[in-house]
Amino acid sequence: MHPVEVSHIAKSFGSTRAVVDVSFAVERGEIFGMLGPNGAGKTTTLRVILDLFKPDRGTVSVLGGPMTEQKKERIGYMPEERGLYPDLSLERCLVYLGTLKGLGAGEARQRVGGYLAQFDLAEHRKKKVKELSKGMQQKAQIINTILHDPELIIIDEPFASLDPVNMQMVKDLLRDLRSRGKTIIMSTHQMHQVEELCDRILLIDEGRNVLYGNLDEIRRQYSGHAVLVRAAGELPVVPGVEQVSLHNNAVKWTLAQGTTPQDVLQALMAQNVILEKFEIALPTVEEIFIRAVEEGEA
Amino acid sequence: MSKLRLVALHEYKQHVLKKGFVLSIASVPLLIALIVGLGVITDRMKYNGKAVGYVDYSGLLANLVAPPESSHSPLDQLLERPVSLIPYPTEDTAHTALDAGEIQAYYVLAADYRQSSQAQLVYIKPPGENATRQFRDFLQVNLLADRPPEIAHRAAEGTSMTMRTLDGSRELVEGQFLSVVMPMLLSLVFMILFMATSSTLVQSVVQEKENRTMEILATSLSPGHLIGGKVLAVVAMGLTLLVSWVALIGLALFFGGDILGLDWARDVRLAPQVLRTVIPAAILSYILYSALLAALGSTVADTQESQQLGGLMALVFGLPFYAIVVLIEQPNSPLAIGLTLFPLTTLTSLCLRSGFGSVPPWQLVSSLAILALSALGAIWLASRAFRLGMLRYGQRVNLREIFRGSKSRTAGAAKAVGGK
Repeated sequence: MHPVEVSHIAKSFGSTRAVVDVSFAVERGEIFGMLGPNGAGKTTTLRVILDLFKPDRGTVSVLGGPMTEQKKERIGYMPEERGLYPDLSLERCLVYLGTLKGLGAGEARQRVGGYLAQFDLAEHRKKKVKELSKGMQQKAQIINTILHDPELIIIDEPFASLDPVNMQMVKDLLRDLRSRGKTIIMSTHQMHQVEELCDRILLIDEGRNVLYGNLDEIRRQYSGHAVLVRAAGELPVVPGVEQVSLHNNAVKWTLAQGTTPQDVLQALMAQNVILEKFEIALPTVEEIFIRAVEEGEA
Repeated sequence: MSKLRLVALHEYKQHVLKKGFVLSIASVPLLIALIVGLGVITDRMKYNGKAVGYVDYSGLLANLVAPPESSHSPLDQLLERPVSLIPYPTEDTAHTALDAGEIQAYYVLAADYRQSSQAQLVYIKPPGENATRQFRDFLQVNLLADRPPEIAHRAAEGTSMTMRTLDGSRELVEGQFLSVVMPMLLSLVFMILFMATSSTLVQSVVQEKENRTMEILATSLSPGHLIGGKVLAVVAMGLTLLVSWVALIGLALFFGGDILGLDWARDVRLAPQVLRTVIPAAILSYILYSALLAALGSTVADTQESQQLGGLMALVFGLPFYAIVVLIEQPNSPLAIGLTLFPLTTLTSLCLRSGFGSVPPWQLVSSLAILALSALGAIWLASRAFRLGMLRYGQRVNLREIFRGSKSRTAGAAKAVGGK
């Protein structure tokens, strides 16, 4: 049983078709990335999964069936539009929201205390939420999402307005949650962020599936169009190379259509070039997305 | 603890622990105390402590009998300004004293006073009410001096009229004016109560939309629990205010009646029949208004708009006050019956009509039944509007969408803001 299964859902708002046809399944214990540009339909898809919107078409199964009130307690959700009670003290706000997720008041208070200490917020527990910095509020939002130890965590744009330190902290936390068997769905338009985190991805554009599957397999599937080369001396001109760019300590050659890495290697060997590095460059998620969209349009 | 109770408790604490709520508790008793205080002060301004003269040609006051000890309350005695009564042999001497400012007025009792009961009062400026009252008591005691004490006492007491409705459910004792206006005051209290708490519910919903907490809440509990908890909290808030006001006013009446001995304070009564009518109507009305306000809070775009709508609802609540003359003089006119049966004005109409008569049972039963059905309908409307409007930030939901939404399975039939 998949924790989340979405089958051909569609959702329109008036004349706007936010989601046209999206399908995917999320494996237990993975970080699943839902990627796409702004306006692709990611948030609407998440809201359909969470039963905030009913789909016009298609079916959704969450934790083994339709959404119920009991299941809400097994899900942690961090919306893109962050929201906590600004006039409540941080501790009271988190305890109240924790009890709404099924925790007893005492247990909620105990867990909040622990998380506030872990996130360096303990000394701000009595401050009103609106008195906290944006970064602190973001941390509080994360605490609220995981406080009740949910088995399914859905996070919409987790890295929005985070500084590098907090961004790293969130990444570490997501990895830690995965290692504890939690299933995480992460939606973002910042594609480079998911490369190091996600096990599988779904690329959405204009409300439709563009690419879906294991991230490594997808990258391998889309590789072969560039190689990373480093030589002892200067690199010669090789036919079939369309674009040259620097990539760390090597040169990245983007190959023309019909040219394979083997062709390039043979050409270098033929010119007796002493190679220090020759590897097939894996494309970035962003590059894959652009190619997938272009192929789709073609 | 159920989520409904959690929300209700959270909302209740949120609002009741605010300074504004404590001020609301004190506001009504303070307002009543201010009105009563101003009334007493205005009344006492008509008093004049200067002496009053009299010229007695009838010989009635030849052998003076001192008036008995005052039966007035300690407060009245404290505030009463005693007036000296000075006899003059002739009108000329009395008038000279009046011109000299030694007395504020003088009475002339003609020689045939026993037959005519006519006395003449001469003054430059009207005398104080205390002066005329004290002379009247003085005269009464002396007129009845030769009668047996029980007859003198009964004659001094005067008439006492009691009016009863035909069905015997209401009665009015002469002089107990406050008991008549009590239902009217009760409707005013309900109106103040409504105005004090109405905006709370709308603002609570709108603010959760504005500060984006709504999405978190909507994924934690059902819209029914959320909106139900909020309505419960506001009803509990209203009850807290009402009980506090009743307790404070009751305490004030006890103090006024039993400690200060104010007769009017002792005489304040609320007929059981009125309570039996008004209490169920008040509870149902409160639920109806709360649910309608919750629905409005879900459909409006911002806090400012919600406050305007709250004010509009308060106007509707008080609509029967504009027709008060018709309600009192023609309680069975089509307008009075219409206002009683219309659920949004039932409570105020019943309060106003109950003060001056009985509401026929068919009207009572019909109005309560309509009110109950309307309250149920409003709760349904509120949950529909809430479900549709909870993720609409800065946008309105119109009634057509709510009713159209009820016919299809689509929730959130319009575009939400905050991503696609």
